[in-house]
Amino acid sequence: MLSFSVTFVISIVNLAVLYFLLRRFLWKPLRTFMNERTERLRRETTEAASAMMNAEELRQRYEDLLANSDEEAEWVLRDAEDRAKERSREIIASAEKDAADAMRRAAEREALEVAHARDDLATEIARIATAAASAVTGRALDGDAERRAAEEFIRVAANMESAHDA
Amino acid sequence: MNPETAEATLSIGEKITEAISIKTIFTIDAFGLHIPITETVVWSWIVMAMLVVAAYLVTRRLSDVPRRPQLLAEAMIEFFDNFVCSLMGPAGKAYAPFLGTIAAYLGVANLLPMLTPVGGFGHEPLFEIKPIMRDINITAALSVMVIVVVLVSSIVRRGPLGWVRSLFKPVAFMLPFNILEYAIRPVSLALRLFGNVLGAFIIMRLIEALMPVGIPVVAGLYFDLFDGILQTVVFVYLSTIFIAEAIHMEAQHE
Repeated sequence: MLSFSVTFVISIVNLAVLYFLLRRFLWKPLRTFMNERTERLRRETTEAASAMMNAEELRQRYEDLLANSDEEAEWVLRDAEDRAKERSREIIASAEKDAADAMRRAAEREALEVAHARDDLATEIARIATAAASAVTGRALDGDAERRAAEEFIRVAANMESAHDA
Repeated sequence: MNPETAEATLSIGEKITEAISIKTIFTIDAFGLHIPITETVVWSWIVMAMLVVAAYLVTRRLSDVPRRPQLLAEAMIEFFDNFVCSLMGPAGKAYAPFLGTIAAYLGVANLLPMLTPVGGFGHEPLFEIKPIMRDINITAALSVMVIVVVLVSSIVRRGPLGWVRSLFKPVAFMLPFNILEYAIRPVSLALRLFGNVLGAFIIMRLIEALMPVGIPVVAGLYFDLFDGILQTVVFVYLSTIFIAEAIHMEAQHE
């Protein structure tokens, strides 16, 4: 039981072999794997932190841009509104001017037509009056005296009509 | 004394003597040598094979999301690295595989006898696994390996002359005691492990012989399970302390 034997030497060899085998198959691969995983996690954590910082910067930049774009959009809207108002004023003014011109031209045309109508009427009345006077006198009116008399008559008749219109 | 009782006592004694004896399973005749291979050596090979196969299977496919065996192996590696480094500093990491190997070998070897099938009522168990550490040759081999590592570490750390000088510290008078320490430490390590394992084995055999029903199960929890783990921890812890002293404390003395 307490005697030393060759088992002692065999056991030393056994333990040495076991040590090298476990170092080869357990410690070395596991340590390498764990170290690589730790390194990878550390790198990924650093990258994630860096990416988060970049994202934060981008977010800040976009927020600034958004804030500025709101102001810009407000300015554009206000400008468009002002332009639209100005344009509408111009259109209304132009339309009013056109309308006034049209009214004036219509009034002038009306006055002209009235004048023509008067002239035509006077001519027609003169012809009728002449015809009537010829029928009354039994002779055709000729000569300057008759014509003046007819015209006088027409003028009086026109004045009487104007007075009547007024 | 009653003759029947005397016969029973003799029978138990014989059984225990037979149990603690170490049988030679076969012999190897090579190079003119006659090498007996004992049952403890065969069981050592079985333990080694179990550990190496388990290590190979665990590390064959390592995954970022570890499964249970890989998790256990990683926890063991990390525990040993931290444990050794806490006592030796960063330089101790190189010793973790050696101490881990001893721990794994001792742990499995001490717990393996629990796999012996239950016998009794006139039936012998199908097979019996006896503690490997009841063989002083194995515990001595473990202790000698530890002390060799201690010695080599000390010499590498301090240099040969520095190591010789360290034998005269703290005073020259301590030389014989310092030399004796290199002999006493492995002896104490080997005998502690051998004595505890053999003692627990004999006590369990006595309990099984005297009270074969029930009690051995409860007693086995202590003598087989707890004592097996405890002796592993004690051996590895003391080995770590000895190596730590060799590479750390001596440097402090300088």
